[in-house]
Order: sequence, then structure tokens, then C-alpha cells
Amino acid sequence: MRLDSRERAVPCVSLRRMLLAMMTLAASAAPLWAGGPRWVTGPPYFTGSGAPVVWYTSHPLYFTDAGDLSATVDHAAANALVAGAAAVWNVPASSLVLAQGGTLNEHVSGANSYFGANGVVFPADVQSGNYQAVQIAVVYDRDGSITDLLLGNGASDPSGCLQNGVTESVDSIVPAGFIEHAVLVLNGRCTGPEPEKQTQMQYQLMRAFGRALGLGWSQTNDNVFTGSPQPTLNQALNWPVMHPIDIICGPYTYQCMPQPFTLRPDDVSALGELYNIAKGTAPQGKVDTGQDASQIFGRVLFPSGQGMQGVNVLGRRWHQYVDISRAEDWYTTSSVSGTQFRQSNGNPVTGIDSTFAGTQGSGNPYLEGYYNLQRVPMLSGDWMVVILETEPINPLYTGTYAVGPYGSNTVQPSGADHPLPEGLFVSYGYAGIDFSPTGPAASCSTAGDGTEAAPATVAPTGWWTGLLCGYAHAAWSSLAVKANRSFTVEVTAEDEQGFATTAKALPVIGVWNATDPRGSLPTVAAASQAFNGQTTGMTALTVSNTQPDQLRMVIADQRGDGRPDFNYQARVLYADSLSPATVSASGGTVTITGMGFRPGDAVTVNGVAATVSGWTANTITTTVPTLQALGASTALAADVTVTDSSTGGTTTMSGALNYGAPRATLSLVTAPSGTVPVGQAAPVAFAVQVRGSDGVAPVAGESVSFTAVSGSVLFAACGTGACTITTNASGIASTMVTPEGAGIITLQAAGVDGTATAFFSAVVRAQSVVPVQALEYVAAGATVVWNAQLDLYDNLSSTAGIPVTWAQTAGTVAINPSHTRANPQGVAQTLVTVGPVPAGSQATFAGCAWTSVCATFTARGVDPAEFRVAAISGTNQAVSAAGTLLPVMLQVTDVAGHPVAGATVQIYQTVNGWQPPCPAQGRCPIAPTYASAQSTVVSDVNGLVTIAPEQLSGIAETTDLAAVSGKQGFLGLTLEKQP
Amino acid sequence: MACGLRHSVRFGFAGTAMLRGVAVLWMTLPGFGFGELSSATTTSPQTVVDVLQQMSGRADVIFTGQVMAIRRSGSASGGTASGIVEVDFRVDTAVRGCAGGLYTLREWAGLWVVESERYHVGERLLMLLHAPSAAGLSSPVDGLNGAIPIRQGGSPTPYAGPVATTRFVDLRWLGAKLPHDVSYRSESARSANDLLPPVPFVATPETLAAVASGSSAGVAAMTSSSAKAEASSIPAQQASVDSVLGMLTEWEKARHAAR
Repeated sequence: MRLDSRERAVPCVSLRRMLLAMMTLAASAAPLWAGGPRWVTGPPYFTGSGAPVVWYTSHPLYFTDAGDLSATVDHAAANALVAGAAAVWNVPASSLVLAQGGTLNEHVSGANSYFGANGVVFPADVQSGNYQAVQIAVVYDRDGSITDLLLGNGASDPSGCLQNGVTESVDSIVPAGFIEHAVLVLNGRCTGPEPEKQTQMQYQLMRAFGRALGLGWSQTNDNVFTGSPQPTLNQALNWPVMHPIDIICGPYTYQCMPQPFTLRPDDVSALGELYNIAKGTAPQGKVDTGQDASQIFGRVLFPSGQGMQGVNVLGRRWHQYVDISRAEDWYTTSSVSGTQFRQSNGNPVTGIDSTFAGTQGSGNPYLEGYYNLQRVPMLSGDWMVVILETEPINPLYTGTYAVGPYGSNTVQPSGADHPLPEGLFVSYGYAGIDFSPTGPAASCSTAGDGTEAAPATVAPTGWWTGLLCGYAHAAWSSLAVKANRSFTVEVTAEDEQGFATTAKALPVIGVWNATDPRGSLPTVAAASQAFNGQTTGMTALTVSNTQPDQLRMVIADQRGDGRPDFNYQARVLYADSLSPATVSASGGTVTITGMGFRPGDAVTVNGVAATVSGWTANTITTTVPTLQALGASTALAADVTVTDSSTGGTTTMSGALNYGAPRATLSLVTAPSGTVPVGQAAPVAFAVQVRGSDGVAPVAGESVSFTAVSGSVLFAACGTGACTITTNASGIASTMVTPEGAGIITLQAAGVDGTATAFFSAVVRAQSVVPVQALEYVAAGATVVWNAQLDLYDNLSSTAGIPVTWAQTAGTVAINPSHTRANPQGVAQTLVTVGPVPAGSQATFAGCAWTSVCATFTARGVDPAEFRVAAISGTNQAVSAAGTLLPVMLQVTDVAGHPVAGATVQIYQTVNGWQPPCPAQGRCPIAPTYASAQSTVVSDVNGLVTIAPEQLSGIAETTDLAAVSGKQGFLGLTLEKQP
Repeated sequence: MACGLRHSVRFGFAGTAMLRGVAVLWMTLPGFGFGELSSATTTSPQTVVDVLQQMSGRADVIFTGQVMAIRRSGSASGGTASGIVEVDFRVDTAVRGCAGGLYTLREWAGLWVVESERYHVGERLLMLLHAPSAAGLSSPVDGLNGAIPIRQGGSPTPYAGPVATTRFVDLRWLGAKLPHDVSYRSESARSANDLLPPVPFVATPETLAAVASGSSAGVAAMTSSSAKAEASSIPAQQASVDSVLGMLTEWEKARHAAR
């Protein structure tokens, strides 16, 4: 079921938006007019709103000039030309009757038209005040003088006839919304012997009549204009007479469209909107506008419910009961959504729009997305389908070629076209269809935006994104700035995908003092024209202030519009402060704090580039140039500017960086550092240099006082703990330094041009040597080779490679080599042959590093009577007969357990046959002796001897071993190879 | 070898070449002479540059500038138009018929009522104007086609350092003045599949109901509407302000030399 308050022929055609259509119609008294009026009433000039501006009478009369149009087109011929052009607009479905009312009282020319005190003065019957008698004055500008008078010298030249062949002016529209008067000037210089010239003028005049009647331009089958895709003849036949821009295919544009003097259904539809004949009211010779036609109206909507303005809605027909492949391949009518809505609402930055555009359209939100295909002619049959489609307005159709309500800049629709077949009906049928394109912007959240009364603080980083959503929405922010600062606000319009665009919002920016009265125009600065920035879609505003201030800032659409697809990115580029704020004449590193920074931003100081080493959104670290680089020789307060070269945005802190006066300076050249041994001269001199005020020239002959502020030192230049040194030709004063006590040493060099300070740590050096084995016990009378080792220690440096001298000090000692160096581990070693040493006596030698740091090694003679023999390993062996007895290790010690080197050990071994244990009763069997041996070994430096047991291979046997050393050193043991 | 511009690149309606490239070419062609191009002033224009040259040839005042103020006087307000409208421009570059500083264009208010806002404060334009009439009135050559917008372009590239931003003259409306053949394709030349759903689809109340309920495929758009009226009709006809001023200045020199 569809809405059926008028005649409907096809019941039960269920459409998806049926209920919506019903609701919208029930909730609003939708105007009957829509589509393509040239002007729409609205406050403040018009008393009504949302209605097309039409002639105050449906029978406007035109009056032609009394003279000839040109030498080749006399008065009668000219009148015929005009009549032909006017007659096109007399169609049955419209109440309009455009006819000649007569002839003007004179031939209008330069002789009777002139420029008066208040503008151009035409003869009285041509003037708008004469509208009741003459509604449309058609002037035959025989010599082009009127055209030149109005448009400038040369405007009537035949080379400009396509533009200036006909000049049209509707010069009286009254607040009630009616056209009272128009003037049409036909440039006689555009006529000639060639009949095509007159036909061309008739064509241009026909279109000018259409405009004078209040018809807007239309975009229907626009591919006829663009050529893409190549049009069909039917598309050309449905390309409206009221197309905005002619095709140029030769000298005469009327030849570039078929049947140029026949209104298209779209033209008739628009005419039917403006000059409607209600059902049953058609006078003779006319028909009701809705007869044999249907009407579709409704709204293009965002999901939020807000109307989507500026969408070209087109209808093409589909015959009942045929396959869609036979649906018409051309559009029959079109209408731009929101035509009746406000064109320009003003904005907080520019205030109320006082231009004619500012009084166009109603503020009724219902009309924001409203479209109206007023008259879709019926196909044969008792019903038909109309397929609704949408498209953007051609971006060329702005200004004088504007189609729809976005006159100065077209707005790309949000979402994609989604063809919508709608069932339609017989004569007088209509449908209300609200719909959304596919995938439009859905969000309209502006909760984070401030208001004029309570502006929101600018984002701390200076960067944020926002949405100008909701008609007339404006985003208010607050910003505190210091005195003598400038900053830049940048707002870039973005589309739904976040790409910069000029086809959505027109951002404008205004700045006030926070205390300025609300509702006032910007008092501090304003960017009232969108897209004045350097990059696509960007509006920029640079603001300077000399006093600390709390500012109020607004971002709005230039038209006062606001929709879910009006995204923007905003930025405040503001440098607030410097740290430090004072530097010497030689410059230095400073940190700029502010907001809106990004990598790549450049810094200049009084126009001289600084070196930037780091960026965050809120800080920039930079090394500022020297005072000399600024071209200055005295102290000054410099301007610091941050520039974003990718956008041209700048922010300046005027006089914010203070440079000290240039003067001679004493600066540190070298100084001891780290740790220095007490009593040793530091390896690096303490040196300072004095340079002149230019920072370059050395200053010679200046006295510099060297002192140790803490600690005790000796300055080599003077041999004392304090010293005055005169700078040399290089401006340098220098001395070596020797610390005299441990601790932190603070050195200072002071002159009339400054002071330099240095620190180091003085430490007492600790060096020592430690024998790895300081005492060796040697069998009396024996000679032993001893690998003497010495550990070297130094608390300040490595001991690797330190030379060590070895020397005998007592007894019989031979050392080779006597000079060695410490290895990487700090150990020095040599071979020492010791002995013979009598029992109870000692032989000694020493190892000395760093000349005097020595350690003594001692070899002590041990009486053989004190020898003892102890088993270390290999005792108690019992292996199989097939096995092998391992070596036995013994150690010779003295009675105190000290290993004794050089002790002679006698070894006795006997190999006997293996015997089982003795029986419990009776005699033990006597084992056979297989072998015996005797040998002598000498203990090494560790007192150790190793004995290889005598043994027989594969035989069960017992090896008895006895070791004897000295008088009492004895050890016996038995080793077994068992069966 | 001297080469005429018309032999290098053509700016047809469907063309996509950018005038920017042409301008560079024009500036660098060896032996380029005004005489070779001047034929464009008398013959049918073949390129946007030809159109510009023709229009500039009919202009008595040429400059680039910014609209600073708009004043209405007489009865040039509301719905009547017997007065004049004065438009103050700050002249950035004067080419012909004016000096630097401020230039005030006086227009017949009748143009303003019918065209609402012809200029906007802050707007930058290349103005090709007729000489003022005895009444002091003037207007752009070829209507507002002679008030050619100057825009700024360039892409901000965060974190990538400076980019080349440029001011360019938007010559798209001049491109619309280029002649081109009018021809029509046959109805059958268009693939019916462009319109077809996947299955035979006949207009009946039932099929419409199915479409409405989403149970059947929808109907394809007649054209790719996202592209129509957008890219197809708008060749990138723009040139840097400097290159356009260079051409205008050269033509001006040649014009003086020819006198």
C-alpha cells in the first residue's frame, strides 16, 4: 500500500520507504514546488520563505524596442525573433503565458540611456518602476552602445556574442517573492546577413527568457555536456534547455543540441513547479500540470535524520511489464535536494550574510534535503516505474552557472548512489520518498565542542579533529596566549575518508578576546574566506597579540552549514615560551614549549636559521645561532619563529630570546679529569684560552690565576699551589697539575674575562707484589729448580707488562732470567735453581716490581731425618688379572707436613703369585716370587714422586711396594691383580 | 625549430593533460614566437591556452589580485538593481591597462541581482576586463568566465617536511569553451548489462516489492554516478599563476611590438 491521498492507480506496490513516506507527509506540509527555481524566498528580505520567486503575474508581457535590431534585422524581424524565443515557454502544463504586450515608446540607445547619479538611467518605460505597464523590456541595442554602457567598452564586440549577445537582468524582485520587471538587451552587433546569427540570438534569448522567468539551471543527462560517457540522441533530447553551460561545437551553439527550441520534460517540470496548474483548474489551451504525469518528492537524508543538501536527484522511467533492459537510458527530470533551504546562513565569523544569497531559502530543517521531481510524464499504460538516482553536482556549476543551493562551491554528496525503483502511477499520482545514499556519514557527534558561552580548551597537543555537524554548528575553543606572541590556526576540511577536500565544509576561523561580548564579530582576527591556506582544503589564520590574553576561537562553515560529512582537522601552532630565555652571545641550546609542533618544523631567530634537534607536539629543541650570526654586536632580545614549511604556518615569540652582550671570554681548553695519582702530574694540562669579543681573536698577555679551590695541588708552571700565568699569543694559559693529596680536586682558572673550572679525583697509588709461594722446603743437600711466581697489584692501573727484577739475596740460588714482565693476569715468573741448602739453613731471593716493591722467596733445608712419606693416590689397588695397576703417587714431607723437594726416595718392589686368603687352620701357602725391582726417584717441588708398579700381564699376582726416604720416611703397600 | 603551442598538447574536453605541463613546455620551447600562436586569436581555439589568449586579446584590463571590498550604491540592494557595485581589488600583478595598488571595478548592479554574489571578499582572481565605459562601468570578458579563480593547492605531508604548494589559475571554465564534435552513440551501443540485475527483471508490482524488501537484486545506476559530473567533465586544467602571467606578459609584449 502506498500513500494515496491523491489518485493512485497501482495498489499494493510495497516500497521500502512506504511508512517513512507516510510519516513525512503526515508531519509536514511539503510545498508543492521544488526542483529548479532560480531564487527561493527567505528572510530577511523576503517576507515568506521556501517559495520559488516567480512573476507576480502568470501572464508577463514583454515589450520590444521601437527600433531595428541591426542593419540586417529590422524591427519586424527582430520582433519575430523575440516571439520565437518567448513562445518556447508557453507550454500547456504551465500557467505561464509569455507574450508580447507591445512596443516600447522609443528605440533605446546611447542617446537616451546614460549613467546618472544613482546608476544607469534607461528611458522611463524601460525602468522597473514601470513594471505594471511593461514587465519585460526587450532592448534592441542596434550599435552595441547599451551593451558597452552596461558591461564595458568592447563588450558588444561580435567576438563575444556567445556571452554578450543577450544581456539579461531581472531588476526588480519584491519582498513578497515576486518578479516585477526584467530587461533583456539584444546586442545588434551579433546579428548579420547570415541567418544562423539570428537563430543563435533567438536561442540565447530563449535561455535568457527562462532565467528571467525564474528558472534555475538544471543538471540532467549531464554527460551530454561532459561527453563522458558519449551521449545518446535521447539523452541529448532530454538535455534541458536550461543546461548551465552550452556545448561549443562551432560558431553557433544552438547547433550543438537537437531540437534546440523544444523544452525538455525537465524544463517543463521546472516550469510546472513555478507556474503550476492545480488539478481541475486548467484554463482553455492549458492542461493541469499533473495531468498525464506523476510527482516524486521527498528528502535525501543522512542516517542522523538531517537532510543532505546539494544532491542531484534524477528520475528515469521504466515501462510497466517490460524487462529493465528496456528502461529508458536517459533521465527525464532532476531536482537538487535542499534547493528551498538556506543557501547561506551567515556564520559567527562574518555575521549575517547581507548578500542576496543570504536571503535565499527557508530555515525549515525539513527542506534541507528536500527534492521534488515535479512532473514526470507518464509512459503509456496505467502505471510506470521511476528509478531514482543521485549524483553530485558538476563542480563547474557554481557562481553564474550554479545548480542548486550550493552556489559558490559544490558539496560532494555523502555516500554512493543507490538506484531506487519506485512504482508510480497515472495522472496526478505522487509519492513521497525519503532515502539515504549508500554508506553516508553517520556520526553527528560534536559533544567535545565548546560553545560561545563555554568554549572548550584547545587540545593540549594543539592538534585535533572535529566535525561541523548540525546545521549552523560552530566549534568554539579557548586559548591562553602570552604577550608578544603570534600563532597560526589551521583548519583543513576533510571528507569521510579523512582526505583533504574543497568539496565539503568551507572552514572559516574567528578569534575574539574571551571577554568580548557574545554575538559580536571577531575582534582579534578572522579568516572569513575559506581555503586561503597553502594546501588543499586549508583555511589558515595567523594572529598576533601584544598583551597576554585569553582568546575565544571559532571554527565554522562559511555558509553557516553543518553536516555529518563536514570533517576537519584543526591545529594551533603556538610557541609559548623558551628555556632558557637568556643565552650568551655565543648562542646555545634552548627548548621551545608550545603546541601544534611536528617534525620538520623550522626555527629561526631574527630570521636566521637555528638547528633543530628534536620535536614533539609540545616542544622543539634547538641550538640557536650566535649573536654574531644575527648580525648584531650588542645584547638584544630576538624574535624566535617556528615555521611549518609544509603549510606555511608560523608562530613567533617576539623579543623572547635574550642574547648577552658580546665580550672577551675565558674558556676551558683542556683539564685533568678522571682519577690522577697523588704525587703524579696529571697527563693533561689545565689550559684556558681568552678570546676577544668577536669570539675568535685570541687575547694575549692577560693574567690568569690558577688555584685549587679544593684539594692540594702543585702547578708545574710555578711549582706552587697557586699560580698566575699570562696568556700567550694564542690566548692560552696552561700548566701541568700534580695532586698532592687524595680527594676531589677542584681547579679554577680566573681572569678578568671569565672563570673556568675543572674537577678530577686524586688517589694515593697502592702497589704491591705477593709471591704465589714464598717458602719452599728443600731436602738438605739437594738442588731444586723452582718456578717462582709473583702477583703484582696496582689500584690505579693494570700490572700487565710491568717489569720484575729477580735477585739472589742469600744462599745458593741461580735465577734465569733475572728480568721478566708480568703477564696479562699480572703475574711475573722465573726459574730459580736452589741448593744445596744445608739442613736448617735457608737460601733466599727476591722479585721486585716498580723498582722497589719487592717480595722475598725462601728455600729452607730439611734434614733427611725429618722426612716422611705419605700416600697420595694409587694405594689399595685390586684389579683383575687382566687389568693394569695404576701408578702410585707418594709425597715426601717434613715432620710438619711441608712438602720437601729434592728428597731421594728408594723404591723396592716384589711381584708374587696371587694367593687366596690363609685357611682358617693350617699353614698359609707360600706364594711364588715372579719378579723384583729397586729404583730411586727424587721428589719434585711439591714433594711428590710417582711410581709405576711392577706387574705381570694377565697373571694374578701381588705387588709389594716399599718406599724409603731419609732416615724415617717409609711406606709399604700391596697391590693385587686377582684371578 | 619553432613550434606552436597548438602542436604540442591539445586540451580537448575529454583530455587529461594538465596545462601546467603545457605552460612549462611553452616557456621552454626554443624559437617560440608570438606570431605562431597569434592565429589562435582569429581561429577556433584548440587548447585552453588558445581560449585564454583569445579572451586576453579582447580584454583591456588584465591583472591578478584579491578582492578587498565590495560596495553597493544607488539601488543596488535587495531586489532592485539600478545602481552600481564597486569591487576593490588589491592588484598583485598588473599586466594590462592598470597599475599596481588598488583597482576598483564598477559593475552594473543589474548583474548582481541576477547572479547574486559575483565576487567574494578575499577571493583571488585573474581578471580579464573590458575597458570601463563612459559611465565607468565594466565587467569581465565573456561574463564571469573572465574572472578566473586563483586557487592554492598542495598536499600537506605531516612529518615529511616541506611540500611544494602553489597558486594556480583554475582554467576549467575556459576548457568548457573549447569546441568539440557532437556525436551520439546508438542506444544499442550501450551494454544492456550495465542496467541489468543478474536475472530477468520485469517491472511489476511484485518485483518492485521484492526490491523493496531486499529479496531481489537492485537496479544498476545508468552511469557510474560517483564519477559522473565529476572527474569526467573536469580535466585538470590549471596552471601556475607564474606560468599564466608569463604567457599573458609575452602576449602583451607581442601586442605592443605589433603596433
